[in-house]
Amino acid sequence: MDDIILEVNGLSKNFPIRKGIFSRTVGYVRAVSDVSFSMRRGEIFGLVGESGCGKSTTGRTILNLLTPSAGSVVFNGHELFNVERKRRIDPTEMRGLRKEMQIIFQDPYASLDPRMNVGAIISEGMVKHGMYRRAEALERAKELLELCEMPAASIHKYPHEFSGGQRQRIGIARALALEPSFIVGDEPIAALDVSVQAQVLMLLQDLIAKLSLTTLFISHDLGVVRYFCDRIGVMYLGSFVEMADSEALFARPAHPYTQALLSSMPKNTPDEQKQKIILEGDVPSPANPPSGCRFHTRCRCRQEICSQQTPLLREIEPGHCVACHLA
Amino acid sequence: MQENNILEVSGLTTEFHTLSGTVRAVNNVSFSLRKGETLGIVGESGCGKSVTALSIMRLLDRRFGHAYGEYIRFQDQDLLTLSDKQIQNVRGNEIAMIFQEPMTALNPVFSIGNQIGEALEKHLGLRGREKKQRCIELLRSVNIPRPEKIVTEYPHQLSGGMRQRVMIAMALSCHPCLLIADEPTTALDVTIQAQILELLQRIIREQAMSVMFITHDLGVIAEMADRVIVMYAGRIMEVVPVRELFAAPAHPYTIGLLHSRPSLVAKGHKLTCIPGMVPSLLDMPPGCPFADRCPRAEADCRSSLPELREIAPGHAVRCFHA
Repeated sequence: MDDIILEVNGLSKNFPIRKGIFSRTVGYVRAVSDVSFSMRRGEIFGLVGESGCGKSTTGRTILNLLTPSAGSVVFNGHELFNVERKRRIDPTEMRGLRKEMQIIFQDPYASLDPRMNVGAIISEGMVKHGMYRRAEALERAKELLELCEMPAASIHKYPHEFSGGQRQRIGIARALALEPSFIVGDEPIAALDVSVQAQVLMLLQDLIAKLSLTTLFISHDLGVVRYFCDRIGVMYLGSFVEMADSEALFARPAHPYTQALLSSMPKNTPDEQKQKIILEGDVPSPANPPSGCRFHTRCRCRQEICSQQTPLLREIEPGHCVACHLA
Repeated sequence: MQENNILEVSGLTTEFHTLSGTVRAVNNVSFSLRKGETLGIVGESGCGKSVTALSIMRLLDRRFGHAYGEYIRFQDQDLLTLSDKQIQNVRGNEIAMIFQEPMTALNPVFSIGNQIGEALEKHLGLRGREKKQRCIELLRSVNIPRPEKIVTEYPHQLSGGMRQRVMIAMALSCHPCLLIADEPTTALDVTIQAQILELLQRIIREQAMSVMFITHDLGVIAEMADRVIVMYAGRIMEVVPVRELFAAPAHPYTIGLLHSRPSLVAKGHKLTCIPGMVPSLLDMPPGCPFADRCPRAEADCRSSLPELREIAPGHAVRCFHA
């Protein structure tokens, strides 16, 4: 199909654990293992899961910002890498593609260089990619700021002069400066206050519609993901446990982890009746994940097969995939 | 002091001295906490909810800020006038506090047993094996697995959820009658948050504790609170029973907050949000601090500050037009 913009196949990322004076590798943290999905043009795909489940690593590996350990990613017909076939995109071609794929980071305090003014932050990419000359790029930066509902005069100011919400708008303007077709939002509103979250979320929604962006939206906030995304993938310890259209996922969660996750959301009103599934214990360490189904140590439905065989993601209704032996 | 109140705060104001001027983080705040009640305090960063708690506990660093007011009555004492020595006997003993970030609130160089034991030794005079035994019991009561082992471990060996359980065990060590919980689940994942909230609910019920529960999350408020104070820019904007907060919020800021939650908006519908941002504490407008962002603001809102007035039994609002 030609409207598929991104195809991820069997993506894995391991981080070596090094010890001793010779930094010998003593093991691996399996941050992401065998993740496959594809995105249609214009779609908003949500990656949810708890901290350490590998959602940010997935986003960054797809963007080729981290070296993958296995798998392949095809973006817009260009193969970025295919570890099994030992192929990796040529750096000049990658530079061209960088314009197409941009990222908005979580922490608006750490992701803007405090010594650059806002104009330089936003126009840097445009100048580097030869899209505009410096003066034109600054004009364009003003337009982008206005697009993100910030005064154009902000280009002369520095990041510390802005609040968290305003900085995140600057981060968004920077991501949009190269006119990308695909953006990864890595928890873009997690660090903001509730009322500011709503502002930035509305802005993102408008921009995505206006510029017909394809968006990979990484978040731990189920309420935000339900509202914002068309399709959702739930991750646990580096793998997908369930993937479905947003409405189907919230209406008929099939994986025991998804069910527990959704039931853990606080009540919306004091009178709401909610049966909570309280999970026992903590997430196991990704350096030493459990055998078989990675969730079996905390699962209330576990059976013998769960600790022996890793369940594969299979379709239980059109577009709704679950990795569970029992679902 | 009314008989069924455990805490009464009147006219509490907390100021910080900064290079750019004096900042009033808490501005003339008065409220009371009934016995056995969980009072939620909700607001966004910088609204003064944590500073209110720190002021009550007298935990502010005197070099930077000071709290004053009419009184903070707790049982038969006025916490504002107690000497340092006297307040130390109250702190951790009769009033306990749970902080947001368990990693920074725990001391990394002392073992868990050591840190829980400190309060047991100071306030209850426990020593040696008795002290250790009590530590283990406390850890078990907050559902920590293998408490005999954990007692000898250090904070970095525990996960975030476990650290928060240790904090709770510490807070409970001397059977306080008032617990102040300052965003106890904000740093945790949702499934762990659900565990901790359930644990707190059980403990509050079993020990019939009075609780001041500070959070920015209205969902957590819905789970935990009986009555709610909404704060904005250092002032109380609304005091309301929890059901009424969700069914009939009165202050435009409260309404805006409730509508900013995407979990309540159907997909495809537009979120509403509060425009603009919180005014700087250094440059407070003379009238209502929310006037610039308020859809109902009129000329009177910008010129004078509305009083907190009762609009229904137990429901008070600081707004001319509510």
